[in-house]
Amino acid sequence: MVCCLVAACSDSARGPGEPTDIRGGADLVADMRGDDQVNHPEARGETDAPPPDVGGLIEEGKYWLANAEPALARQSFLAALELAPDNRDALFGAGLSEYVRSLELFGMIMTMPTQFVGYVGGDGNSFWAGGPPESENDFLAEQLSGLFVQLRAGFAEADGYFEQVAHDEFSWYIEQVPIYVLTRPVISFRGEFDLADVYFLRSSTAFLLWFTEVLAAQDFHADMLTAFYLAEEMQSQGIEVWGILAIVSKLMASDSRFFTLREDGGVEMFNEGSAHMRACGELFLLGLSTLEEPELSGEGHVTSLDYHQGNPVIVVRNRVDFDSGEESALEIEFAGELISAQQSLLEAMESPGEVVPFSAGPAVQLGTVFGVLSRFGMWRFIPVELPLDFSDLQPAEVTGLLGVFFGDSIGFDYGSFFQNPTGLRAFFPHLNKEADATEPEDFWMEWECPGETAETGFPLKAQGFLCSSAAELEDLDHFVGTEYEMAADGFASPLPYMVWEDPAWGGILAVDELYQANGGDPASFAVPDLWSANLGVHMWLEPVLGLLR
Amino acid sequence: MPMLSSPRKPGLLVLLALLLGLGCGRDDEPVTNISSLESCLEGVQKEMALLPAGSLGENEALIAMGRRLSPVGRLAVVPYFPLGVALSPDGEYAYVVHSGRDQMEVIDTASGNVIQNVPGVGGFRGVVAGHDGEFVYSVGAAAGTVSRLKWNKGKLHLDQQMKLQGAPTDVILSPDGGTLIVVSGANSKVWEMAPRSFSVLNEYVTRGVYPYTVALTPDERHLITSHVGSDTVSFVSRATGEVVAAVPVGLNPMGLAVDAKRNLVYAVNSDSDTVSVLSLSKFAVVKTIDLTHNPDGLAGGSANEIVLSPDLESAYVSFADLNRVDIYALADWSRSGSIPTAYYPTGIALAGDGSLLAVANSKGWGGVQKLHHELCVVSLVDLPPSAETLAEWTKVADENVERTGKFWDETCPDPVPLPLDQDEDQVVEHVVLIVRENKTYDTLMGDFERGNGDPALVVFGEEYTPNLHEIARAFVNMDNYYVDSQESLQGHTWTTQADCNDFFEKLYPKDPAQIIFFSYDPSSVAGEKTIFDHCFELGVTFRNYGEFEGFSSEMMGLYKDFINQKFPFYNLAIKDVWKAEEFIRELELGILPEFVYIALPNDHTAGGKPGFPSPASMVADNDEATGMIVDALSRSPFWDSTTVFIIEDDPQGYGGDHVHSHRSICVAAGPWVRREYTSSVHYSIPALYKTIELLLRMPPMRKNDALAPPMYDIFVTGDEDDPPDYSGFEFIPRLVPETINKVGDYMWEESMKFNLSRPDASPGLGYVVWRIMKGDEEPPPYAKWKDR
Repeated sequence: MVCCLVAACSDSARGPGEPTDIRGGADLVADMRGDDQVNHPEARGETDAPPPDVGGLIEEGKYWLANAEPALARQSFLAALELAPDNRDALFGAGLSEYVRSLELFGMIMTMPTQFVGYVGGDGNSFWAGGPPESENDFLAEQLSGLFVQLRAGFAEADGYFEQVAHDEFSWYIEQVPIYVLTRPVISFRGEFDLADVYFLRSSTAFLLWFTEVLAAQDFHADMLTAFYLAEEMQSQGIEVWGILAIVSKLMASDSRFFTLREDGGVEMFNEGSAHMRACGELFLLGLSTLEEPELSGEGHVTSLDYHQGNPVIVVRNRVDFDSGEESALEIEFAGELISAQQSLLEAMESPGEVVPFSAGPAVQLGTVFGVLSRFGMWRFIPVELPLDFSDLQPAEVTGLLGVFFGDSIGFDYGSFFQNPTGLRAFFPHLNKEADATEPEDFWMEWECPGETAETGFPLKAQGFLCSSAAELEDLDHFVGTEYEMAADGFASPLPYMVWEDPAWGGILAVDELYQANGGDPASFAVPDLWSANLGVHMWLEPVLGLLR
Repeated sequence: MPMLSSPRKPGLLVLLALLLGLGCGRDDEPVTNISSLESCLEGVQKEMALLPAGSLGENEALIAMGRRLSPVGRLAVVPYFPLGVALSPDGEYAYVVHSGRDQMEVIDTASGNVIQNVPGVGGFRGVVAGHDGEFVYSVGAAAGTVSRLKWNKGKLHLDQQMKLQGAPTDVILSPDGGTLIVVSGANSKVWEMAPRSFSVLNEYVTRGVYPYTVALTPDERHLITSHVGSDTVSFVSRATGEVVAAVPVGLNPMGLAVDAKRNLVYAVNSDSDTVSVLSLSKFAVVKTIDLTHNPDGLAGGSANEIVLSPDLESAYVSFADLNRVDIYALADWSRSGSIPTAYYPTGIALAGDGSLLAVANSKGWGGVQKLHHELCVVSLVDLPPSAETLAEWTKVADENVERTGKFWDETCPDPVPLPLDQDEDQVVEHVVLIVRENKTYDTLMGDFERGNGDPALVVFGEEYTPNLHEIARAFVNMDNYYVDSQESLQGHTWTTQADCNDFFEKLYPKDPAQIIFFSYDPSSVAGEKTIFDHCFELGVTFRNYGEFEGFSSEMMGLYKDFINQKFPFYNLAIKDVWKAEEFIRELELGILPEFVYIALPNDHTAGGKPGFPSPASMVADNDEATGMIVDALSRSPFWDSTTVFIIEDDPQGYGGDHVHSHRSICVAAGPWVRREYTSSVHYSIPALYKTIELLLRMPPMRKNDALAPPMYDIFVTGDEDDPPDYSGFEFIPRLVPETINKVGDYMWEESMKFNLSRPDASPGLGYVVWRIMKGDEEPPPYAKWKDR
C-alpha cells in the first residue's frame, strides 16, 4: 500500500476501460487546495442528506475557467449541476465553460484543413467523377459535416445553459475568463457577468449556431479530393477569384448533391439556423436595453454602458494584445441608426415579400459582425489581406463603408428566404458542361469587352475574370441562340455575365432594375430573372470594381 | 555553464518505503548494477543488440526496426517501391511496376537480370501477362490508363494505351484470355475490355471504398472486388451489373485468390493478418483464418497478397512487415513454411506450373544509402524447395523477425521502472514524448562527444541545439536509434502507432493518383488504432499537444478533452517556444496525464523562404522549447515519476548520416534513466513504444511493439548502488539570435516553392538548408540521406 501511495503503482497490468479523468495530475491541485468536495459521499448524493452546498465545486469551476481550462471548468460545473440542477451559478458556469471551449475548438478546427492532405491527379484527371454511392469523397463529406455538427453541439449546449439563467437579476463574478486563439489569449473577460451579458453571450452563440447550422445543413458530397488538390495548387500559385470559382464549380459539377440541403435533416437544420439568426439580433438588442439599467454598468462589470455623442457604447473588459499580452477595455459604439436598422431587419425577417436593400440588410449584419471582430483584433487571424485597416473602426463605420462600396441595386427578402430552406448551391453560377469544370470554357460566361477578348471568349487580362481597366466596354446581347439568351441590359460591365442556377438565390435576391436611374427606391425591387439578376449584381459590384481591376 | 540543478532528495514516502524495505514488491530481487547490465550485453546478446542497421554482408541486412533481411532466391535489382509483379506464362520473364514511378522492368528470371525498362506505362500495382505470351497489360493509377505492351523483336513495346475515368489499381484476364478486367481504386468502376481490339465492352460500378483487387468467379458470372476503405468484399453480377453482395471481412482487405476446387475466394486482410474465406455460392464469409501467429492475435505482419498453387493445395501469402512469404496448406491452413524475402514484400506471382515465385520487395534493403531512390529487389525463388531447405528458410524467417525480442533475457538486471514483467510495480507514472521534425543523428549530434557521431555531417550542432546536447549529456543519448519512416506523413503514423499500415505504405511514395486523406481516414491508420485510442481504451489518461494523426471529426469529438485546443496542429508560423509555454502553463496548473505527446515541428525549418525565420533560428527555437519543457518538468512535483523522450518523426534531408539513412536521435531524461549514459543498443520507434507501454503498464498495440526490445539498458535498476537521480535540468536560452529570411538572401528563390502549410510539401528543402548552413561545401560521398 505504501508503495502504491508513493508511486501509484498498479496492482496489475492494464485492462479495458476508458479514462475517467482528463486532468491527469490536476488532481493534485484539488488536493493541495483542500477541496475534496467532488469525492465526498454527500457530494455524490450517496446519502439521504439534503443537497450540499455546491459552492466549492462552483469555485473550482471558476478556478479552472480563470486559468484557461474550460474543459476542466465544465466538469466542475457539471458536477455541481448533478447535485443542484437548478443552481444558476452552476448553469451559467457550465454555459460559459462550454462556450469558451467551443470557441477554442472552432479556432483549432480552422487550422485543420492544412492537414487534409490529398494526393490527387496532378493533371486534373476526374478520377472521382461519376463515382459510386461510396467513396473516399463520401467519407470526406461526412467528415466535413461531422466537424460542423461537433461545433454546433458545443454552442448548442452552451446556449442551453445560458437560456436557463436568462431571466431576472443575475450576478456572477470571476477574476478573468481568458479566451485563446491558438497559443495566446485575445480576450479576457473580467468582473461581474450580469443579465445583459447573458443576452450578449446568447446573441453571439446564436450567431455561431446559425453559422454552424447553415454549414451542417449542407450536403458536401462532391469531388472533394480534386477540389482540395486544386485549392492546394492555387495556394501555391496565389489565390484569385477565378480559381475559387473554378473550385466551387468543380465541386458542384461533380455531384448534384453538393451544396444542397442534406436529406437527413438538412431542412430542419436550416430552419434552426434561421431561428438563430433572428435570435441573434433580438438577443443583442435585448442585451443592449438591459444594459441601460444603471446597476449593471460600471468598472466591476464585464460589460457596461457608456455614451458617445448620444450613441450607446458597450465597454467590454478586456481585449488582450496578442503580442504584448497587455489588456485594455474595449469600447464598441453602436450608432442609433445601426440599432434602428437592426430592429427593422428583425421585422423584415418575419415579413415574406418585404425587401431590404443591401445597405439596410447584409451591410448591417456584416458591419456589426466585422465591426465587433475588428474591435477584438480578430483580423490578424484571418488569412486575407484587406485593402483597409479595419481595426479601429466601429460597427457603424464598417456598415457605412460596406454601403459605400456596394450599391443598393440588389435587395434581400429575408422572410421568403427563411420560409424556403435552400442549399448554398442556389448562390452559384451554372456550368456549361457537367464534367471537368476546371477549364474556363466550361462556364456560361460572357464579357462586354470585345477588344480584349481571347479566343476562349475570356478577357485577356486580370487573370481572365475581369475586363481590364483599359478595356472599352460595350453593352451586348448575351448567350445568343441558347436557351439562356438575354438582351443587352443598358449597362456595360467588366464583370462576366453568368447563367445562375437560381437567379433569385433561393428567393432572397431582389433586384432594382432602375437603380441607376432612380438611385434606389425600395418599391422598385422585383424578383429577378436571369437578365435582371446579372444587371443587379453588376450594378451592385460596380463601386468596388475599381479595386478589383 | 552548469546545467544540472542541485540533486533533489526523494520524496518522504519514497524514503520511508526504502527504509522499510518496501521496494514496491522488489525487496527480494537480486541487487544489480550497471556492471551487471554491461555483462548482460556480452556474448550473443551484444552481437545482436549492438549491431547497426545496414548491410551485414552479401544479401543480408538489418533494417531500421532491427529485423534481419536474408532473402533467398535470385535477386533482381529494380528501382524504388516495386509493387506489382507478373510472370510470363512460361515463367521466363517477370514484369514489374512501381508505386510512384511510371515505368515497367522486364526481368529475365533465369539470370535475375533486368533486361529492359519500358517507360510510360503508368504506375501502381496492376500488371498481368497475356496467355499467349505476346502481350502484357498494366494499369497506371496516376495517369488513369490501361496499357497494352507487345513483344516485338525481342523487346517489349508500348502498343496501346487508353485513358479511363478513374485511378485503376488492378488488371486481370479472364481464364480464356478473352476479357481484360480493370478496377479503379478511386471511383469503384470496373471495366471489361477486349484485349485484342483494346476497347471497352462493359462498365460496372462495384460497392465499397478503395477497391484494390479484382477477381472473377470460376463460373465467370460475378466480379469480385476487395475494398480497403470499407473492409468489404463485393460481388457484382456481370449479367445485370447489380452488386449482389458487399460482405464485411477483416480490416483492409487487399489480395484475393479464387479457389475453383472448393468454390471459395480468399481475401487477405492486411490490417488484421487474417484471411476471410468466402463461399462463392453464398457470397458470405464461412471462415476466418488467423495468421497472426501469436496467442494474443496481435496483427502487424501486414499480410497483403495471396496466390494459390496450380494444384490448389497451397496458398502463398506475403507478409510485408515480416519480410517473408508463408506457405499454407489449403486443406487446413496449417503453415508449411516460410520463404525469407527482402524488405517489404508486396507483390507476388507464381509461374503457371508452380515452379517459380516472384516477389516484389518494395523497400529493398531498407534504405541503406538513401531513403528514397533506393535500389530495390525482386526475389525469384525456384519452387518447390526440399523439405530441409524449407525448414531452414522457415527458421531463418522466424529468427529474422524475432531477434529483436531476444536482446534481453532473465540474466539481465531488472530495472524498477521497466520490468520485464508488466505486473511489477510502477514508478514512472508520466511519459512525455516530444516529437520534432526531420533529422538524422549526425545532423544534430555529429559533434557530440559521447556517441557515434560524424562531425563532418553535423549541421545543427551544439551552437544551435545546446539544450538537446546538454540533456543528452546529462541523461541518456542513444546513438544506434532509428526512425522507421522515410518522410513526415508516414513518420507521424510511426510516432503515433509504432507502425505504418500497408495501405499507407503503398500510397505515400506520392504517385499523384494515390489519393488518401492521411491521418483522418481510418483505413490509413494501422489497425484503426493510434496510441491515443490505445490509451483511451485502457483508461490511461493522455493529452495531445499538436499531433494531427488520427484525429478525424469523430476523434475531435470523442477526444476533445484530451487535446490541448490552444496548441496548433502542424504550424511553423507559431514559435515552438510559445507552444512550450502553453504546455508549461498547464503543467503549472497540475495538468500532466500519464501519457503526453508534444509535437514541436519548427526544426523542419522553412529554408530560405522570405518572411520565415532562418533555419538556424527555427532550429534554435525548437531546441529552446525542448529545453524549456524538460526544465519545467524537472521543477514540477511530477518529476520523480516522469520520463521524457525526445525524438524526430523522420530522418529527411540536411546532409544525412554516416551510419544509416534512418538513424536519428532519441534522448531520454528523468530520474529513472541513467545519468551521462550513451546506449548503443539498436532501437527504433517500436522499441520506444514498447518502453512507454511497459513504463505505463500497457499491453502492446500491435506486433511491432510486441516484438520490439524494451529500452532496458537506459534505466537505473533502483537498487541501492544504482538509484534514481532526482536532480533536474536547467534550460539554456538560445545562443543564436533570431533572424528573418529576406528576399535576396542566399537560396531565397529556391525556397519560394516550399509549401509550409503541411508536412512533406517542400521538395529540396534538405539541399537548401545544407547550402544555407554550409555554403558551397558538398556533403561527403559516404553520407546516407534523403533530400526532401
